[in-house]
Amino acid sequence: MRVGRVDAKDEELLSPDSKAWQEAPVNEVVLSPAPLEMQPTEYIRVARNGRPYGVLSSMKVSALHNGDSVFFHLIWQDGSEDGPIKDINQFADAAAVMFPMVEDAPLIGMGIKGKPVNVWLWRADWERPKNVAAEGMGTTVRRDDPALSSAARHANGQWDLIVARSLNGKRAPQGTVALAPGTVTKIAFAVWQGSEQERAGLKAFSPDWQELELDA
Amino acid sequence: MSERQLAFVFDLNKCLGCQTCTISCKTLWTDQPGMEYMWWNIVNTMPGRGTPRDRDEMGGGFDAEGRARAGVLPSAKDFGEAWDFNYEEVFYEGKGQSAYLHPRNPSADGKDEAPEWGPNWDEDQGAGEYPNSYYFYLPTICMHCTEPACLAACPRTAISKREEDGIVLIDEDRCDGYRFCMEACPYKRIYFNPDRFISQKCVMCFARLEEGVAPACVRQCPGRVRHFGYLDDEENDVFKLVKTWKVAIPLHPEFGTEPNVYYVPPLAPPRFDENGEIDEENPRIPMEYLRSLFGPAVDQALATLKLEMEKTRQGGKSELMDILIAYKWQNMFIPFVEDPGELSRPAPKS
Ligand code: SF4
Ligand code: SF4
Repeated sequence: MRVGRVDAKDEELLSPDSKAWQEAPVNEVVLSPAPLEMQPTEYIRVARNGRPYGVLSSMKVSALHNGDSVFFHLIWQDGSEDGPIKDINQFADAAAVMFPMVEDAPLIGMGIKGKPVNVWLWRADWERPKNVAAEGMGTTVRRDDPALSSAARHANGQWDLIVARSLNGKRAPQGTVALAPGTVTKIAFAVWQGSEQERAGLKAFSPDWQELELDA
Repeated sequence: MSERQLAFVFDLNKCLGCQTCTISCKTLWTDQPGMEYMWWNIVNTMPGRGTPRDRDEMGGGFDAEGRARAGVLPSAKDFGEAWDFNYEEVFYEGKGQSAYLHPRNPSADGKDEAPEWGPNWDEDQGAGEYPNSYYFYLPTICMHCTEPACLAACPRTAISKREEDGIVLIDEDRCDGYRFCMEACPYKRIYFNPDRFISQKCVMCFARLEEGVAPACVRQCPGRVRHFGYLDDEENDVFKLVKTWKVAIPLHPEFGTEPNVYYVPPLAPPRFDENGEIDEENPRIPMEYLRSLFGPAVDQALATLKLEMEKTRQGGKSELMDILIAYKWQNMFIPFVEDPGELSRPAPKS
């Protein structure tokens, strides 16, 4: 996946209908349910056995940067908009992009001790995405990160989400990936459908890392 | 399993259904925003639907082979939302003589509708036909289980069981609000705080215990219902009632979590037969019903209680009856006998 460089202001790149996005190449990312046997507790494996989750099979992804910030534009089908919860048995929709912190950090299980990953997690009931550091399942630490921002819209049964982060590494929370123009790294994606009580490992995800190349 | 275990015995033959325990817990632990609908301690009329409603049908716990069982995530409506009252109208709008104070359904978007459900909604309904109607009160809290289903279900290992006393606690910093614990707890004693986005439940008043003070629900109970102490302390009421006399038994042992709240099952007055005569043979509370709550051990527990009651009726002495009567209430929770009013404490924050 290429992250094209454009000469556009942050505001334009945070607007899903802008010219920059209309011209950006679209990648089809294949998703599948995070495997039942990978779910971290027996309870979750038993409770979701025969109760489908992560059924979303693909999403559209475009990526751009303007030298200052990087922007990921994610589009996926979701018949119900699940924002701030109105009852305690409800869950909000969510999506995430994930990067390896070292070359061979495993995608499945969200890293492992000594081989961390960095996740930018958007949730429909949050004001801004959170910056998540992980070294394996159950180890995630969520931090506020003023350098992260997002724009989200639900219309006609689909989410249009832009997640953005400054490329400036200064004062980044511990465990934040350093993305720079002219470099190559990897990326993965995940989506949670709140209406299906998806949360934690109950999600649709891209099972393989995709190469991510930032234009110089 | 922890090295030691603190446990409760609730004597259902003495419970008044007064909810003093419920309120003592409420004022101490759940009076903050997001906790309005929480009742970590609740007393329900049985037979009844419980809190949350129909909780016994909500799954969770473990099956006979020790495998996790799927459970339902209750809604705030199932627990009974915190009602709102027309205080404004009655107290501030000059209608003190015409409007009466009443609860409003919190889901009715400000409309003046009566609530449809609440905690202990079916109070004192019970079952059976006059003159053989019956009911009893069943207080429940987190059972601080020996095999906590909540702990096993959590993908973040946010729940732990303390080695020194077996208290099951949720680490609020680790909890991400996934609520698998709420699904997995077969007693449905975990609540979700939507303001803080964490799950919360009874903490056995651990901060009081560390000062030698019994849990609030135990100390405040006017019915002398609640015995409390270490399950391995042979001098303690809990040990004697559970281990020696075997009259205190767990609720729903088939849920497989080995709960640490034990109940002295309820006796009832005898039945009347068709002729209005006292029928000593058939119990007023059907044994099948009691077995469905407490398992087969309930038969022996009730038989022992009857035998010992009979002894005292004949003028004899019964250690068991003396424990259950609880002549000296401080003896019910040895060694946690400190009076909280006499402890030195930091000055309240101004
Ligand atoms: S009663 Fe429920 S919440 Fe309490 S320890 Fe047992 S399983 Fe956990
Ligand atoms: S346990 Fe005690 S305080 Fe609670 S309802 Fe029964 S009598 Fe009242």
